[in-house]
Amino acid sequence: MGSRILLAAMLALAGPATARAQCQLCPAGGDSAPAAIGDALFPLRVTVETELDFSRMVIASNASGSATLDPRSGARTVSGGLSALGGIPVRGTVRVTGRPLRRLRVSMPAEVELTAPGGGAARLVDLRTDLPGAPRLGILGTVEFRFGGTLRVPAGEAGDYRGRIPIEVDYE
Amino acid sequence: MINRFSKAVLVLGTLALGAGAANAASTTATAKAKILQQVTVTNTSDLDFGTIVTGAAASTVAVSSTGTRTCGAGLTCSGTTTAANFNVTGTIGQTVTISTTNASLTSGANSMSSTLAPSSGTLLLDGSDSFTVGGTLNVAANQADGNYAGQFTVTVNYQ
Repeated sequence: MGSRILLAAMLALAGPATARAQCQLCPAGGDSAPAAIGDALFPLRVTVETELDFSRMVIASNASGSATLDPRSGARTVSGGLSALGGIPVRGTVRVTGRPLRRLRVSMPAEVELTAPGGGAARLVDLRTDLPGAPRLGILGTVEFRFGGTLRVPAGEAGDYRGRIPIEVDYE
Repeated sequence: MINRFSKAVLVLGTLALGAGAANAASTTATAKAKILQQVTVTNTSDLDFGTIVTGAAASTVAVSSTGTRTCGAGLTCSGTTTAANFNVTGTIGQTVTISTTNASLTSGANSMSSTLAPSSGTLLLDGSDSFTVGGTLNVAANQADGNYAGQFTVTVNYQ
């Protein structure tokens, strides 16, 4: 008698989770209600593999200029008062690891400021990645994405520019 | 039996508490760009081969990068010779390459060619930068008298 009551209590407790009971470690079917237990076993990690580097350019005229690094192609286009010099422009690349096939949300500011030791300030705008609209981790639980943007340099403002871009990744 | 039941509840509880911390991760990437100043080149003195009395045979007059003259056989040279001087500005720490064209010196319908060279093919900018241009003037046999002058172009670019 006592053992039958105990069994009923255990089944009642397990009730709400019955639909997912078959596979606790698989991604939630519709991604709308993530299985919290599965996420906890795959903590998200994000690391920067390459920094964003527009490389060398030169002031060509007394007009503001801009340089765009396309995250998809890696190509740099320079316009306005700037001219391209040699050097190798590099897209930023970021590696994310976590739960296989899980949907992700990647957050970066739309703009950041870059400053130079001499006091110049340039703006990095239109920061964007090469991720698809609904990014997710791959079958092995990793994904790598690239990012780029457009650097706006005021007229004549030469300098060695640096800036910081905060990147946050969440399970969607 | 009762013991096993209690343990199951405890395990579920722990997992639920740990879920929030793993759901987000953040880092900071660096963006950089090196924008160099425009290079400027300013001419401060001319290349001057001085005064030459010509001879019966073709010869040359050379002016070194320091302005020192070498007068060729059969010619008589006098007067002051100078190498052309150019001041350069640009981003300190960068290296520039220097090149020059040759010059044709003319006086009316008469001309003499010259071969020119910069004092250095490259320059590491340190804030106080200049170079000179000297060369060799080709004087024909019995070159006609006159005040000969010409122009040449120097080009300075970041390497």
